[in-house]
Amino acid sequence: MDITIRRATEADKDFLVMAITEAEKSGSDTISYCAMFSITGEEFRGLVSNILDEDMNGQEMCISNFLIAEVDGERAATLGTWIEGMDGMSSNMIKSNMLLYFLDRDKVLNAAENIRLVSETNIHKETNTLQVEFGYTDARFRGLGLFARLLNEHIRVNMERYDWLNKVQSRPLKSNISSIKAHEKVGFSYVSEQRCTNSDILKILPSDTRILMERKLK
Amino acid sequence: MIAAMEEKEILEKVSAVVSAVLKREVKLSPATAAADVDGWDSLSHMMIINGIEQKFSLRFKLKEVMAFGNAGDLVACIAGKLKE
Repeated sequence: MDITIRRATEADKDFLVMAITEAEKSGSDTISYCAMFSITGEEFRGLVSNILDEDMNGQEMCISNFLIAEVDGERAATLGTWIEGMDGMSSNMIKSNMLLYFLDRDKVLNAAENIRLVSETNIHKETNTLQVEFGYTDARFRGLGLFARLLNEHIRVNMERYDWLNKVQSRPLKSNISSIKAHEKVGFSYVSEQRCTNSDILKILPSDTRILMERKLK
Repeated sequence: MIAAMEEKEILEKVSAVVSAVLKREVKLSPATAAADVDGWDSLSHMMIINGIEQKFSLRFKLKEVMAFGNAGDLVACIAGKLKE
């Protein structure tokens, strides 16, 4: 079995859209963006595709920030990382600009209350830390340690470029047990959690609580 | 001089939009960044940009909003668009 890790390119866009969609479900059947903005799954995939086309660094939906794991030449897994706030703007702010630009304006404005609810589960992303988002492994290739390989390659490449990096962070939902276990397996530990006390959050996210997990790099 | 006055007026109008969204008085200076203003987070940012676009009857391009480092950048962009 031949496993290779490489940087994602535009040719991987369809795979990344699928991977982001699956990761966004956080182990449930619901795409949180669809619930939040009252859009269909197809509209969500179009939104992701448009954002990926921009290849804008500093946030989670940037093609060049993804690595792809191939098994015998077939795309098997992916993982994205970025360094928070390195260019001066937070990933949340960049994402807000993208949403405002690519989503129907009324849908964004009508979603204000939903966004506010979701933001109650937000855990601050520390500037100049490596952030992990959208890990996905095709079910046929699970158990091969692809998540660990992808993560370690991201860390190696980023540490080579930015030797001041001292931690990598991830924020799975508390209900996403498989994701939490996968993170623990590659050296992440629980740091804190943030809960939204309004039960309406469960109409948008599969859990009312987000967990901060961290792995020290130094 | 005229351009400077125009920009001062634009800054005041932008401050009024930010104040309306954040529901408290906010006085921006050209050097003020979003991170300097309590409550100017990713959610209110969307409301603020939308409010500014409505106030000045214009539409920003994505690359324009991505280049806003502070209120001065925002005002300069608006001034430029109003002259178009």
